[in-house]
Amino acid sequence: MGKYLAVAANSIKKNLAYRMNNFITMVSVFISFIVLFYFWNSIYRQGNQIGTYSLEEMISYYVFVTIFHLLVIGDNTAWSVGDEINNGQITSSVLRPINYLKYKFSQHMGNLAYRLMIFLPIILVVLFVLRNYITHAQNYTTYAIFALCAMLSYGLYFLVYFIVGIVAFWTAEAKGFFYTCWVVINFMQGGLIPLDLLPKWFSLISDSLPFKYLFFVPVSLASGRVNFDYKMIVVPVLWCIGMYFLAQLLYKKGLKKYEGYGL
Amino acid sequence: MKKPIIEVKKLCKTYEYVEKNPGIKHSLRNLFAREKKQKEAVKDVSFKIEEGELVGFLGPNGAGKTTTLKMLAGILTPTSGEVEVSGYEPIKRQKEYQMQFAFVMGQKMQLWWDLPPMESFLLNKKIYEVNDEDFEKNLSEMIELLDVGGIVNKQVRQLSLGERMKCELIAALLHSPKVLFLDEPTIGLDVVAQKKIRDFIKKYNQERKTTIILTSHYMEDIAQLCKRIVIIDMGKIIYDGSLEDLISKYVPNKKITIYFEKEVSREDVEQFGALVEFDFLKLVFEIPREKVKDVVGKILSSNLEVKDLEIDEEDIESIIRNIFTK
Amino acid sequence: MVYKNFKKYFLIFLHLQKINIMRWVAYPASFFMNFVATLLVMMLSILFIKVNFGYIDSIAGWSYYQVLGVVGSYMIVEGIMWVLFSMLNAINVHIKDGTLDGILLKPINSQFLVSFWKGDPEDSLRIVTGIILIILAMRNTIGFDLGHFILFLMLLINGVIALYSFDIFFRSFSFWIIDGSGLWLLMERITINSQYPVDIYYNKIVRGVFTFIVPLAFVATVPAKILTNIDIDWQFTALSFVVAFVFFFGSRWFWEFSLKHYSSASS
Repeated sequence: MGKYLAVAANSIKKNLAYRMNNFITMVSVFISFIVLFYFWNSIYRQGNQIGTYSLEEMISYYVFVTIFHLLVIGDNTAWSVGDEINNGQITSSVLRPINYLKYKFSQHMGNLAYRLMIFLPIILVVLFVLRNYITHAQNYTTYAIFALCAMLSYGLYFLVYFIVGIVAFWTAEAKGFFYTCWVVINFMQGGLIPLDLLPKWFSLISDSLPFKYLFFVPVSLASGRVNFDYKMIVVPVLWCIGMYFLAQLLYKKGLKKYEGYGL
Repeated sequence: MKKPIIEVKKLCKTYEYVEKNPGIKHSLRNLFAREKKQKEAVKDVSFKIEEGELVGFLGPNGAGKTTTLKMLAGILTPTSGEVEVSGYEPIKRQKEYQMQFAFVMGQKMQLWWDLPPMESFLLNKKIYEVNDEDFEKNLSEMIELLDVGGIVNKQVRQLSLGERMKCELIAALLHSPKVLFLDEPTIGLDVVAQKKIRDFIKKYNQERKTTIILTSHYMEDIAQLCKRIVIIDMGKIIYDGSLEDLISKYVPNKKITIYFEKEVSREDVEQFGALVEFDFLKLVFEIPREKVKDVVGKILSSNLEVKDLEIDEEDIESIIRNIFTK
Repeated sequence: MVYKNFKKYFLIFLHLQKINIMRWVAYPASFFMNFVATLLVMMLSILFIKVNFGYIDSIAGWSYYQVLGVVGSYMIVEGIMWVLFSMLNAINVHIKDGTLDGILLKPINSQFLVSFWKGDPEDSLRIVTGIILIILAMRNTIGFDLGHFILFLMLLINGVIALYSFDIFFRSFSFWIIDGSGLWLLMERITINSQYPVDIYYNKIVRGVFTFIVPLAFVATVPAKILTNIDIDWQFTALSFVVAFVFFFGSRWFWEFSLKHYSSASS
């Protein structure tokens, strides 16, 4: 266990070394908040309404989407795994007494710890500044469920992108694939447009995939638009378990193929 | 007396860096206040090089060799001092100056990774404004000398390190530069490739009279190619002269080890020279270089029964190491 | 003399484009994947607009086809930036690896070589999609008008110059800081917002910032306005050219200045 803690700690240190990058991320988030604010305001002040969303709900939705992107997701597991496979770094992980999946997850945790440290204060400030525009869940139970969903989402997100990253075992040109996955998954999780604004037939697709539980469900919970439904916990848990085994399986298969080329 | 093509006077280069210590505490502290330290990479370096010389810069890693070369190439601005190459101040980066020199960095590739070297050659041809005739002539000459005919149309990433280095050299020399800076050209290469490149550099310098400065921490490079060597350590020049003089200055003596068939006594051998080791059947003498031939002759023609004799040339590596530790 | 120089630079430019294409076709798998990814991103940004317009009629005074004109203009400009200048994204990598030195010692303008060093021909897909969009936009608003169209093209090129200059200015900061790998991300996060009409910023100050400090307005909003509106604000149009001019020479100066610093501060 200690070794995984060390991996997480190293991840934090690595991140701290790049303070310019943190500043840059903060600036870009700040700018996206401004654009967001003005975009929706200029639509709503003309007396329009998008679907069943009020102005506050719309802004809240996208604010939470951005926060989610920053904290829960906020990193590049697929790219990191892909790179390590391509440049051979994964070999040292294979040779060491360390489970690669757990290793990457510890790094991911380190990243999260770091991001919480750096970004949480800013986020709280932004939430305070925009407080008149943010709608949020009304009772503590919903918050508790939201927290649970967020954690599940965090784990599921990691697993999904780990699997995506493993594709690098089979091809050296995986970056385009990663990007495509990111774009598609982002859309399917409600990162571009709230899922309930899309035509009804689309929900057939989005309901059968795990992605809406990555984002759309927890974000809707946090902004108080939906109430708790047991499905919100059970389904992601099932997906997590399924993805975990899929990840292990694909990893083993991929490693065999990789070894064929000589470690 | 012709003016030296390269003249460097009291050149200094100091730069700031941030010290990175291990541990989370330090990382956190660095987030708010960075500790800036100064490093004097080059201190008061002065030398003159005549046209056509092949000079070796020798020194441990971080000694300041590469930094000096970069200042000669106009990549870095000197903190103080004067640099003049071929009549130009390098840092001004005048086009006329840049057309006259080439810089090959052993550790950094200038060729495109995904494409055949020929594409990089053609681009250089256009950048350096080489006309078709000269380009063809230089290219075919060098391809033959370096024996790379079969590979110039293969992707660079498919070539071995040695082949890549050869192509880097060709790319750099297509415009027939007057001055060539080579920074660790044989680093990481196998022995065969190293020799081929050395031979090429030697031949090129002899035929074209190109002024060449070569840095290396491989003694063989320097020993094989350079009559004149400049030793740099910690930013300062410790020696500037010929290799022969260096050896005779710093290592005046040679060691002679003699193995005898029969035991000999001290009195028998002391006459020949300073005895460093006496082990009845094995003796070691330290004799000044000039006297070695003489002494050996005397020992062999004496009535002592010599079984075997070794004359040790202290290898240049340890010679240099001695210089650094003095 | 000037002609000879121009010819040299033009031939080198052509050679670099040839190399870009060679590099592009050397990796067919990448090409396909990138093609799909780029197409998807573009389709989704159009979808975003379409879905929203399913509920409303205009955004800040811009109708559906007018907004498409903005998105299309943005795609064309962004496409040109990627096809020609993708290297600007990699400048930090070059500084870190030290390969920038090799570029600096060549007898050719460093900004030129760095700008055109690498390009992504596959992003010409963006230009094609953008063209389709602006044709749709023009057709469904003021119809085809040669005068407007020519002015539109000029403003589009103006937008490229403004964005390029802003990019150069931005990336010159890589010469000052140790790790600028986040810079290009920031740059992209900022530029992506130029696909929304700048009129959404009803606050004058904010709109001013996104027009004159970060030239987002000139990238897509201004050209699209000419494309899809009968009225032409001549004053503002002339101002656009002046702003791009100022940005260009200002960024050139800053580039050279930052390069000097790089030469004296590094090792």
